[in-house]
Amino acid sequence: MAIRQPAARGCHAPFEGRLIATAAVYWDANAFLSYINGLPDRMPVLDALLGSSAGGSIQIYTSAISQVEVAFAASEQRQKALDADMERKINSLWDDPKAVVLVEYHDGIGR
Amino acid sequence: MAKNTITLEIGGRVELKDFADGIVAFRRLVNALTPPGAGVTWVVDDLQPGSAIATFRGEADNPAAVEMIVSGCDRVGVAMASHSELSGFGGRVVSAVHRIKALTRTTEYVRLETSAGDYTIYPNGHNPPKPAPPPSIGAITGRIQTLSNRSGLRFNLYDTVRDKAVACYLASGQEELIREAWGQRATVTGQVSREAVTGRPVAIRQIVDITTLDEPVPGSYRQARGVVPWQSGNPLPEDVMRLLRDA
Repeated sequence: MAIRQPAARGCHAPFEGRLIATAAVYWDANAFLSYINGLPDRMPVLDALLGSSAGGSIQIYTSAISQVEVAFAASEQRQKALDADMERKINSLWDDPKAVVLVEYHDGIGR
Repeated sequence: MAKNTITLEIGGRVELKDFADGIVAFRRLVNALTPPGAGVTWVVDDLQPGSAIATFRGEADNPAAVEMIVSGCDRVGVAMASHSELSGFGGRVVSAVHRIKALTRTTEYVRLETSAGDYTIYPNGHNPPKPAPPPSIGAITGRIQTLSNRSGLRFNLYDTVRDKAVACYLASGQEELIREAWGQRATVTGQVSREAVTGRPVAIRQIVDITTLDEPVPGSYRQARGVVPWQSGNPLPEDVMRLLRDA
């Protein structure tokens, strides 16, 4: 599972040169997929980190690409299309900007 | 698309003197582009706190006069951004352009923006390592914070990722898209222009859709917890992702 911590307190975010006052943690799609899978041995860590991010003591970042990967992987796991309610619940992962900050994908990153 | 606004942005660490010089040089440019007797008044349409960005809206009995000035600004912007010679302009315009270029001695860049385009002027020999990505169709989510009630066709979207203003230009007749959206979170879809170095979106033109969004509920991410349960014997998430990425 990829939970990377590229930046410590007081260092610069990888964009805008903006000073990040809290620890910045990048979550790959694996971490979110683990969360929606509810993997028992991982949930305590994931819950704690998401709670810390929502509370402001750390900040979780992820790429907009993770949104696509998570939705696609979830449907692959179920071997069928996700129903609307399940999609809505998965999308709720991205709705709280205090918990998860999205780094959008654009041409500059793609190259 | 209404051509009645011009935006000036001075990038980097901007001292009061730089900002004052920029406004004076910009005024000289606009005056130099204005035909005699045009009777155009430029009013401050928007000022961005935290950034040296000022937008001015031209008001005149004859809107064509305003459009002519804005079009002139576009042509000047193209020439300045490409460091090419200004041709077809009088001495007053050339003089004003020199003053604007001089700002880049002490700042990182100067950007002019109209409803038609963005023109970033970097110091000579200090162009960014790569050009700005070409405008592309995309969608930016943020909060619609400012909306000029008088012109009704330009508004700012503070994007969620960077909390910076993105200028959005509606075409005539699209006013309904923005009605009731002031202050709301929304996703704006259109042709997105970006800044060269960071890829930050600076403007959205040719807007095709504005979708207002529900306000985020703190802790809403918990709804996704265990929604697709993993069962013993199933591949682990990292294995599923690896299969997808290798596919």
